[in-house]
Amino acid sequence: MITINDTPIDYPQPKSLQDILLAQAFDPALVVAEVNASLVKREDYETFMVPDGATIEVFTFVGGG
Amino acid sequence: MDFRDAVLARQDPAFNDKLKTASVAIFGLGGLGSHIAMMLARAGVGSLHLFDYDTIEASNLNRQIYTAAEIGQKKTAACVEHIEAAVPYAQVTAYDVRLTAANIAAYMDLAGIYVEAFDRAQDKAMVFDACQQHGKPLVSASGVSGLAGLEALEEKRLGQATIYGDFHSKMDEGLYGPKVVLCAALEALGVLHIIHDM
Repeated sequence: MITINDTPIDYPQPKSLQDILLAQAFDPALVVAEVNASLVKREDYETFMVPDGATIEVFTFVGGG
Repeated sequence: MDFRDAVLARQDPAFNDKLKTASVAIFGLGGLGSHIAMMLARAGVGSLHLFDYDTIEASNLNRQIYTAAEIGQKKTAACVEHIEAAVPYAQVTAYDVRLTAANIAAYMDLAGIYVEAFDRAQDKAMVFDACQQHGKPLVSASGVSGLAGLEALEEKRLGQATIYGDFHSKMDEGLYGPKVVLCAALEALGVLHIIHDM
Protein backbone atom coordinates (compact mmCIF):
# COMPACT_ATOMS: atom_id res chain seq x y z
CA MET A 1 0.00 0.00 0.00
CA ILE A 2 1.21 3.51 -0.84
CA THR A 3 -0.52 6.86 -0.49
CA ILE A 4 -0.69 9.45 -3.26
CA ASN A 5 -2.13 12.86 -2.40
CA ASP A 6 -3.89 11.35 0.65
CA THR A 7 -5.44 8.50 -1.39
CA PRO A 8 -4.32 4.93 -0.45
CA ILE A 9 -3.43 2.76 -3.44
CA ASP A 10 -2.71 -0.98 -3.65
CA TYR A 11 0.96 -1.58 -4.41
CA PRO A 12 1.75 -5.24 -5.18
CA GLN A 13 5.33 -4.84 -6.51
CA PRO A 14 8.17 -2.29 -6.50
CA LYS A 15 7.70 0.33 -9.18
CA SER A 16 9.58 3.42 -10.28
CA LEU A 17 8.13 6.81 -9.44
CA GLN A 18 7.69 7.36 -13.19
CA ASP A 19 5.56 4.19 -13.53
CA ILE A 20 3.42 5.14 -10.55
CA LEU A 21 2.84 8.65 -11.86
CA LEU A 22 1.85 7.35 -15.30
CA ALA A 23 -0.41 4.66 -13.80
CA GLN A 24 -2.18 7.36 -11.80
CA ALA A 25 -2.61 9.55 -14.93
CA PHE A 26 -0.14 12.24 -13.90
CA ASP A 27 2.04 13.80 -16.61
CA PRO A 28 5.59 13.40 -15.24
CA ALA A 29 6.72 16.46 -17.25
CA LEU A 30 4.29 18.76 -15.41
CA VAL A 31 4.54 17.65 -11.79
CA VAL A 32 6.71 18.07 -8.73
CA ALA A 33 6.84 14.91 -6.63
CA GLU A 34 7.79 14.35 -3.02
CA VAL A 35 8.27 10.82 -1.67
CA ASN A 36 8.18 10.63 2.11
CA ALA A 37 8.50 14.42 2.24
CA SER A 38 11.67 14.52 0.09
CA LEU A 39 11.68 16.08 -3.37
CA VAL A 40 12.69 13.75 -6.18
CA LYS A 41 14.37 15.34 -9.21
CA ARG A 42 12.49 14.81 -12.46
CA GLU A 43 15.58 13.23 -14.06
CA ASP A 44 15.45 10.54 -11.33
CA TYR A 45 11.76 9.60 -11.72
CA GLU A 46 12.54 6.56 -13.89
CA THR A 47 15.18 5.12 -11.56
CA PHE A 48 13.65 6.07 -8.20
CA MET A 49 12.06 2.89 -6.81
CA VAL A 50 9.20 3.75 -4.49
CA PRO A 51 9.29 1.76 -1.22
CA ASP A 52 6.15 0.00 0.03
CA GLY A 53 4.31 2.19 2.50
CA ALA A 54 5.56 5.42 0.91
CA THR A 55 3.62 8.64 1.05
CA ILE A 56 3.79 10.47 -2.27
CA GLU A 57 2.70 14.05 -2.75
CA VAL A 58 2.27 15.19 -6.35
CA PHE A 59 1.88 18.84 -7.30
CA THR A 60 0.79 19.49 -10.87
CA PHE A 61 1.54 22.77 -12.65
CA VAL A 62 -1.32 24.22 -14.69
CA GLY A 63 -0.95 26.86 -17.40
CA GLY A 64 -2.01 30.48 -17.39
CA GLY A 65 -0.23 33.73 -16.70
CA MET B 1 17.23 62.83 0.40
CA ASP B 2 17.77 61.23 -3.00
CA PHE B 3 14.85 60.30 -5.22
CA ARG B 4 14.90 56.59 -4.28
CA ASP B 5 14.74 57.46 -0.59
CA ALA B 6 11.85 59.83 -1.30
CA VAL B 7 9.93 57.15 -3.25
CA LEU B 8 10.48 54.58 -0.51
CA ALA B 9 9.70 56.94 2.38
CA ARG B 10 6.68 54.86 3.46
CA GLN B 11 8.74 51.64 3.69
CA ASP B 12 11.09 50.56 6.48
CA PRO B 13 14.50 52.25 5.89
CA ALA B 14 16.52 49.21 6.99
CA PHE B 15 14.52 46.98 4.63
CA ASN B 16 15.01 49.54 1.85
CA ASP B 17 18.78 49.12 2.23
CA LYS B 18 18.38 45.34 2.01
CA LEU B 19 16.16 45.65 -1.07
CA LYS B 20 18.83 47.75 -2.79
CA THR B 21 21.31 44.86 -2.66
CA ALA B 22 18.80 42.25 -3.89
CA SER B 23 18.81 40.85 -7.42
CA VAL B 24 15.78 39.15 -8.91
CA ALA B 25 15.31 37.44 -12.28
CA ILE B 26 11.79 37.32 -13.71
CA PHE B 27 11.06 34.69 -16.36
CA GLY B 28 8.14 35.93 -18.46
CA LEU B 29 6.75 39.46 -18.79
CA GLY B 30 3.08 38.76 -19.43
CA GLY B 31 0.12 38.98 -17.08
CA LEU B 32 2.17 37.88 -14.10
CA GLY B 33 5.68 39.06 -14.91
CA SER B 34 4.98 42.57 -16.20
CA HIS B 35 3.21 43.41 -12.93
CA ILE B 36 5.74 41.60 -10.75
CA ALA B 37 8.59 43.52 -12.42
CA MET B 38 6.85 46.84 -11.88
CA MET B 39 5.95 46.04 -8.25
CA LEU B 40 9.47 44.91 -7.37
CA ALA B 41 11.03 47.94 -9.11
CA ARG B 42 8.69 50.27 -7.22
CA ALA B 43 9.50 48.45 -3.96
CA GLY B 44 13.19 49.23 -4.48
CA VAL B 45 14.67 45.89 -5.55
CA GLY B 46 18.18 46.88 -6.61
CA SER B 47 18.67 44.74 -9.68
CA LEU B 48 16.06 43.21 -11.98
CA HIS B 49 16.75 40.78 -14.84
CA LEU B 50 13.73 40.51 -17.14
CA PHE B 51 13.22 37.68 -19.65
CA ASP B 52 10.75 37.37 -22.50
CA TYR B 53 10.89 36.79 -26.27
CA ASP B 54 7.34 37.78 -27.17
CA THR B 55 5.80 40.86 -28.74
CA ILE B 56 2.79 42.70 -27.36
CA GLU B 57 -0.62 41.74 -28.80
CA ALA B 58 -4.08 43.23 -28.34
CA SER B 59 -5.17 40.17 -26.32
CA ASN B 60 -2.49 40.99 -23.71
CA LEU B 61 -3.99 44.34 -22.76
CA ASN B 62 -6.75 42.97 -20.49
CA ARG B 63 -4.17 41.93 -17.88
CA GLN B 64 -0.67 43.18 -18.74
CA ILE B 65 0.88 46.60 -18.11
CA TYR B 66 1.26 47.47 -21.79
CA THR B 67 -0.72 49.97 -23.88
CA ALA B 68 -2.42 49.91 -27.29
CA ALA B 69 0.36 52.09 -28.71
CA GLU B 70 2.89 49.38 -27.77
CA ILE B 71 1.25 46.56 -29.76
CA GLY B 72 3.95 44.91 -31.88
CA GLN B 73 6.81 46.00 -29.59
CA LYS B 74 8.96 43.57 -27.65
CA LYS B 75 7.68 43.01 -24.10
CA THR B 76 11.23 43.31 -22.76
CA ALA B 77 11.78 46.80 -24.20
CA ALA B 78 8.31 48.04 -23.28
CA CYS B 79 8.52 46.71 -19.72
CA VAL B 80 11.89 48.40 -19.18
CA GLU B 81 10.42 51.67 -20.50
CA HIS B 82 7.47 51.48 -18.10
CA ILE B 83 9.75 50.79 -15.15
CA GLU B 84 12.23 53.52 -16.03
CA ALA B 85 9.37 56.00 -16.44
CA ALA B 86 8.04 55.11 -12.98
CA VAL B 87 11.26 54.75 -10.99
CA PRO B 88 14.25 55.92 -13.06
CA TYR B 89 16.85 54.69 -10.58
CA ALA B 90 15.90 51.02 -11.08
CA GLN B 91 18.68 48.84 -12.49
CA VAL B 92 16.87 46.76 -15.09
CA THR B 93 18.42 44.42 -17.64
CA ALA B 94 16.27 42.87 -20.36
CA TYR B 95 16.96 39.55 -22.09
CA ASP B 96 15.09 39.04 -25.36
CA VAL B 97 15.47 35.28 -25.28
CA ARG B 98 13.24 32.21 -25.27
CA LEU B 99 14.29 30.13 -22.28
CA THR B 100 14.50 26.40 -22.89
CA ALA B 101 15.84 23.41 -20.97
CA ALA B 102 18.94 23.72 -23.20
CA ASN B 103 19.81 27.36 -22.41
CA ILE B 104 18.28 28.18 -19.01
CA ALA B 105 21.38 27.05 -17.06
CA ALA B 106 23.34 29.95 -18.59
CA TYR B 107 21.11 32.40 -16.68
CA MET B 108 20.99 30.71 -13.27
CA ASP B 109 23.89 32.70 -11.75
CA LEU B 110 22.48 36.14 -12.58
CA ALA B 111 20.27 36.66 -9.57
CA GLY B 112 19.72 35.64 -5.97
CA ILE B 113 15.99 35.00 -6.41
CA TYR B 114 14.07 33.68 -9.41
CA VAL B 115 10.46 34.37 -10.35
CA GLU B 116 8.53 32.11 -12.69
CA ALA B 117 5.89 34.08 -14.58
CA PHE B 118 5.33 31.96 -17.66
CA ASP B 119 2.08 30.95 -19.30
CA ARG B 120 2.67 27.27 -20.11
CA ALA B 121 2.73 24.52 -17.48
CA GLN B 122 5.78 22.84 -19.04
CA ASP B 123 7.74 26.10 -18.78
CA LYS B 124 6.77 26.42 -15.11
CA ALA B 125 8.09 22.89 -14.51
CA MET B 126 11.29 23.74 -16.43
CA VAL B 127 11.98 26.75 -14.18
CA PHE B 128 11.26 24.66 -11.08
CA ASP B 129 13.82 22.08 -12.22
CA ALA B 130 16.47 24.72 -13.01
CA CYS B 131 16.07 26.42 -9.62
CA GLN B 132 16.14 23.05 -7.84
CA GLN B 133 19.29 22.06 -9.74
CA HIS B 134 21.06 25.36 -9.03
CA GLY B 135 19.86 25.75 -5.44
CA LYS B 136 18.03 29.03 -6.13
CA PRO B 137 14.97 30.30 -4.26
CA LEU B 138 11.99 30.36 -6.61
CA VAL B 139 8.64 32.11 -6.47
CA SER B 140 6.17 30.60 -8.92
CA ALA B 141 2.47 30.61 -9.80
CA SER B 142 0.08 27.89 -10.91
CA GLY B 143 -3.64 28.28 -11.43
CA VAL B 144 -4.33 31.95 -12.18
CA SER B 145 -7.26 31.51 -14.57
CA GLY B 146 -10.99 31.94 -14.09
CA LEU B 147 -12.81 34.08 -11.59
CA ALA B 148 -12.36 32.15 -8.32
CA GLY B 149 -11.00 34.61 -5.79
CA LEU B 150 -9.23 34.73 -2.48
CA GLU B 151 -11.04 31.64 -1.15
CA ALA B 152 -9.43 29.53 -3.87
CA LEU B 153 -5.85 30.79 -3.57
CA GLU B 154 -3.13 28.86 -1.78
CA GLU B 155 0.57 29.02 -0.99
CA LYS B 156 2.68 25.88 -1.27
CA ARG B 157 6.32 25.35 -0.29
CA LEU B 158 8.28 22.70 -2.17
CA GLY B 159 11.98 22.73 -1.35
CA GLN B 160 13.21 26.27 -2.00
CA ALA B 161 10.15 27.08 -4.11
CA THR B 162 7.04 28.94 -3.04
CA ILE B 163 4.07 28.55 -5.39
CA TYR B 164 0.93 30.70 -5.38
CA GLY B 165 -2.38 30.21 -7.18
CA ASP B 166 -5.53 28.14 -7.03
CA PHE B 167 -3.48 25.15 -8.35
CA HIS B 168 -6.22 23.82 -10.65
CA SER B 169 -7.87 26.44 -12.88
CA LYS B 170 -7.25 26.01 -16.59
CA MET B 171 -6.79 28.64 -19.28
CA ASP B 172 -10.12 27.75 -20.93
CA GLU B 173 -11.78 29.35 -17.87
CA GLY B 174 -10.43 32.65 -19.19
CA LEU B 175 -7.65 34.93 -18.01
CA TYR B 176 -8.92 37.98 -16.14
CA GLY B 177 -6.82 40.92 -15.02
CA PRO B 178 -7.93 41.03 -11.38
CA LYS B 179 -7.20 37.32 -10.78
CA VAL B 180 -3.86 37.34 -12.62
CA VAL B 181 -2.73 40.57 -10.92
CA LEU B 182 -3.76 39.17 -7.52
CA CYS B 183 -1.47 36.19 -8.12
CA ALA B 184 1.27 38.51 -9.44
CA ALA B 185 1.02 40.53 -6.23
CA LEU B 186 1.33 37.33 -4.17
CA GLU B 187 4.45 36.40 -6.11
CA ALA B 188 5.95 39.88 -5.64
CA LEU B 189 5.11 39.76 -1.93
CA GLY B 190 6.72 36.32 -1.75
CA VAL B 191 9.92 37.83 -3.17
CA LEU B 192 9.85 40.59 -0.55
CA HIS B 193 9.47 37.94 2.18
CA ILE B 194 12.54 36.08 0.89
CA ILE B 195 14.61 39.28 0.78
CA HIS B 196 13.37 40.29 4.24
CA ASP B 197 14.43 36.93 5.69
CA MET B 198 17.86 36.87 3.98
